[in-house]
Amino acid sequence: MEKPLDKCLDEISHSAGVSGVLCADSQGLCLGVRGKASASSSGTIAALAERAAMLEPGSQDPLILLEGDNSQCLVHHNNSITLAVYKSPETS
Amino acid sequence: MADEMKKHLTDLMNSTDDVLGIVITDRDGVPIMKVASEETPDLALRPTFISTFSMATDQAGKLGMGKNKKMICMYGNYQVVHFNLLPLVVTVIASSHANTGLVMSLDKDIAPVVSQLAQVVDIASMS
Amino acid sequence: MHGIGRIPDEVGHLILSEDGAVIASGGELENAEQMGGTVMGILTCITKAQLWPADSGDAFKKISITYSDHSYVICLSNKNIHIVKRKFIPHEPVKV
Repeated sequence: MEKPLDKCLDEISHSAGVSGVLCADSQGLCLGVRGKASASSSGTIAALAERAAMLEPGSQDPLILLEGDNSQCLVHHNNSITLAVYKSPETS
Repeated sequence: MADEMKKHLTDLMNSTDDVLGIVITDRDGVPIMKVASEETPDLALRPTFISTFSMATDQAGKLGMGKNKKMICMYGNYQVVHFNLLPLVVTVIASSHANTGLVMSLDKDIAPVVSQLAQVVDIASMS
Repeated sequence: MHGIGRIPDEVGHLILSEDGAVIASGGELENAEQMGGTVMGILTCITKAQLWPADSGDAFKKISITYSDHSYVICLSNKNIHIVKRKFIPHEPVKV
């Protein structure tokens, strides 16, 4: 049942520059995780996407980018599914 | 110290959406520390309800998959997440549409409080 | 005073203190107190949980929230939280 999702996560995690990927549902439960992302952060990521969507309730869900010195984390929420992609320059 | 702990728990409760209450009890369900908002169902705070968990977690530990750490109970309007941090048990009561993943990750914020409390409880039970 | 009005494509800005009180605001974000509250919610949400594994020693420095035609950039400086609303200019796509 989850094969298409697993395949998709594998594909993303093998892209250049990607060090981890996490997928969470609307309840904040982890649907899949690859690389350095941690399954325990799924709740936070879902909550973050939900909070950010509250910024402009009328508009489409935004893309959230968290930037650190060495890595980035992209979070996007769509159809009750939240996807987070971790990127770090070492792997690119 | 107790006031600080209580404040910490209240902050945790308020900073997580839809969390209605956090109760730290011993394994028999005797409340040690409790923070709850007004919407919390009284039944969920009663020792009879919470002590059921310690029985269930004991049984779940016998399934051969190691010690049971967390238990999530979903109800029509509420969800209850129990953390097994023996000798103490932490019960988090939230509304059913709360972010379960976020509630489950509360354990690492509560654990420091619990370990401090556990020391106190240990000393008390020894004397 | 803070030079925040000189950022290219900026259409509004908001400066919050650490506890979420509005210190300064301007442009489209003038007196956007409610937005300040939402941003504080986002920040507590991120700081509370570890998004990065502890061993990487990395912490987030800047947050961008991007919509189709504008974006918000949030960062911490001088113990204040700076929020800038900018018109969004599409960047070069990332080569994958």
